[in-house]
Amino acid sequence: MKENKFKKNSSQALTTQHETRMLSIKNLKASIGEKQILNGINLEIKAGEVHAIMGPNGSGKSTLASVLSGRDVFDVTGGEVLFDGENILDLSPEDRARKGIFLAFQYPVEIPGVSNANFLKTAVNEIRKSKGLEPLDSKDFLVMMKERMKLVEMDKAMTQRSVNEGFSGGEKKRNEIFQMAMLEPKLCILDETDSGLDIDALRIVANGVNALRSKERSFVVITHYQRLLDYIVPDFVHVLYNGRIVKSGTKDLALELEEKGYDWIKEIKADAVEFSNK
Amino acid sequence: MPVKEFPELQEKAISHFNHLGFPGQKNEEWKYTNISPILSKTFSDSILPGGITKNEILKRFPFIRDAIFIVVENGRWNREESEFKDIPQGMKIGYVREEKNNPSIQKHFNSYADVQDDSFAALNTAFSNDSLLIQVLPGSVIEKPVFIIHVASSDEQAIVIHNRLLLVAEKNSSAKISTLFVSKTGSAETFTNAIHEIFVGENAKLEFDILQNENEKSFHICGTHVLQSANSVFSINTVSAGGKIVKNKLHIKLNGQNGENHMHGLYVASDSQLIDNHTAVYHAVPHCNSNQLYKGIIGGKAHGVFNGKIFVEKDAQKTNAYQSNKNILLSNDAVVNAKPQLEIFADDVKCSHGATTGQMDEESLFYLRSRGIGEENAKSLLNIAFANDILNAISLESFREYLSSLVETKLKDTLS
Ligand SMILES: Nc1ncnc2c1ncn2[C@@H]1O[C@H](COP(=O)(O)OP(=O)(O)OP(=O)(O)O)[C@@H](O)[C@H]1O
Ligand SMILES: [Mg+2]
Repeated sequence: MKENKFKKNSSQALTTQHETRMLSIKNLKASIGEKQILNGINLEIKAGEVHAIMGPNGSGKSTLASVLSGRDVFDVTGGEVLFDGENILDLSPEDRARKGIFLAFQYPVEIPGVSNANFLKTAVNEIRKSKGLEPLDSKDFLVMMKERMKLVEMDKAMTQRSVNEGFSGGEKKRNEIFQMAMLEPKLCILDETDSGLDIDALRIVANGVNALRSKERSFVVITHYQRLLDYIVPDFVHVLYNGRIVKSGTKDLALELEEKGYDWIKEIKADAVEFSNK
Repeated sequence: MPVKEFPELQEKAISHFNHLGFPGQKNEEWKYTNISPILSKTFSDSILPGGITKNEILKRFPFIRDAIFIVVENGRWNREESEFKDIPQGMKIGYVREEKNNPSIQKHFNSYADVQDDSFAALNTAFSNDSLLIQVLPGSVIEKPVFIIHVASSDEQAIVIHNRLLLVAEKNSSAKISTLFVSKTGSAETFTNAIHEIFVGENAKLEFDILQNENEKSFHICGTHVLQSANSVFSINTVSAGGKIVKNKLHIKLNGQNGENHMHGLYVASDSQLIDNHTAVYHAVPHCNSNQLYKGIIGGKAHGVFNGKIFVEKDAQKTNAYQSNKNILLSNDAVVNAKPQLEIFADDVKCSHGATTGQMDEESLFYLRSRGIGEENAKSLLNIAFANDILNAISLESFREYLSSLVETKLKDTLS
């Protein structure tokens, strides 16, 4: 306990020294109702890095993404999350978004009656307002929208339609990346953005993501398939199992998983937990 | 008391009322709507003009600038402040009493309202004084919108107002009529008791929009009774926002084959408002379609009631009748009673009905917020989207936009 406290303080000091550390997740635990889903996650992400998270179904990947973006159906029962050195766990979802956290949803919701364009304009301008910037007028907004639509080769008609309503699975995913391009976040969390995309769309979306990569922007890419990581090459690959990161490595780890599956990971988990707590 | 317009009808109505009395909550039609707050008041019927001007009206309702509009103040038509010089050919606007010798008008007047069964219809018949007539002549297609602006205004004493409209769309005609019920700014308590009788002739097409937005002290009871002929299309959109108690009754009878109607209703209630919609559609003949969608957004300690009946008579084969009622509750103290009812005596019909009541969709709300949109704004976007489903049925764009911002403002107040 004493040791823990000391650790906390020292890491905070570190954060201020090394300003490149964007996200720092420490022993994060979260549950829904009685069920604990995240069992102590530790993860450090520096600006400009791409981290891939893999792991079996139900291991807690989407839950981690939701907790980071502030979904309140999950109770955070322990740990902390620092974003640019600030604890964000008490912030509302909108405040986190305004600080630059973006989640591309695994299952984007359909919102009938709210047009994509109106929705995005509201979002862009609320984020601008939080930064003390003037709102974009309709003309500038349209120019920006046109430009960013090209990035994911999105059809203009889709912006006129209600948010995701009647969109195909692939179109929804493309729309998520389009929104990401519009909102210019610092930390982009992509939750299985590749699932549901055809081969061409996967390439287009991946190219869009790569175009958005920069020294200031970091990515967490949740995926089941090594294929995506051929396009978006990660700096690190982590395996999430039973609500813990049980193994971390470079992009080679993804290849190894593709080949061997997860069984060997499940067996070594006890050791790994200890390792990641150190 | 002023001279009666129709002494015989009015005497009869008084005796109906004496027989009926006021409805209590044991009466199925009034189960959820307790009118004792109305009955406990003394309302005067000495109607004084409130002195509203055309300029004030235009300022408040800029969208009527190029339309024909009739200003009705406390039940009396204020001709000076109305705008009806350019009534298109093929449309007649006047008093029903001026058509006493016109049998084709008189056959409709007081024929559809349920004067024998409904206390308020009886009272309206007994005491209304300026029964208004709008007639669209056979074959006339009226593009110009027509608005009736009902202004309730009382300085001190609570007053009762009986508004009455007879709307006749003759064979092959087409028109759009909208009626607004509002209070004069700063008005004391008023009790509006309105009756609309509507006849839609063969192959006629009619849109009738109602906005109820009187002040928070007002009581409003409105009966709309419609008879549809063969091949006619009737659309009615009822938007209820203001009023302490608002109670609507909408009865439509499909009386000729291939008739079609669309009933849309939106009620937005906050504080301790009560808004009650009772609808009934009678399919009397084969091959007719009826569609109804009523939506409610209820906040505060407000109470919404929806009761929709569909009757399909034995001969009304090949009927299509749809009804849906959806409600969003914005607070824990908000209440909705929804009751759809089907009575079907024909065997070859397609009917469906359903009612849902719930909170705002949590996932959608999170989605919007995760994009940086503040909670209040996100809720308002979702509510407006929910409401627009109804408002989009209103064909006059400027009126629709007015209603949309009215609803938005009311929701912002309710949510903050
Ligand atoms: N709202 C919820 N109510 C109850 N259990 C939930 C809820 N959300 C998630 N869970 C449970 O939490 C666990 C982790 O779910 P999560 O969606 O985070 O998994 P995942 O790693 O993203 O899986 P997948 O690869 O299938 O997307 C699962 O067992 C899931 O059933
Ligand atoms: Mg998932």
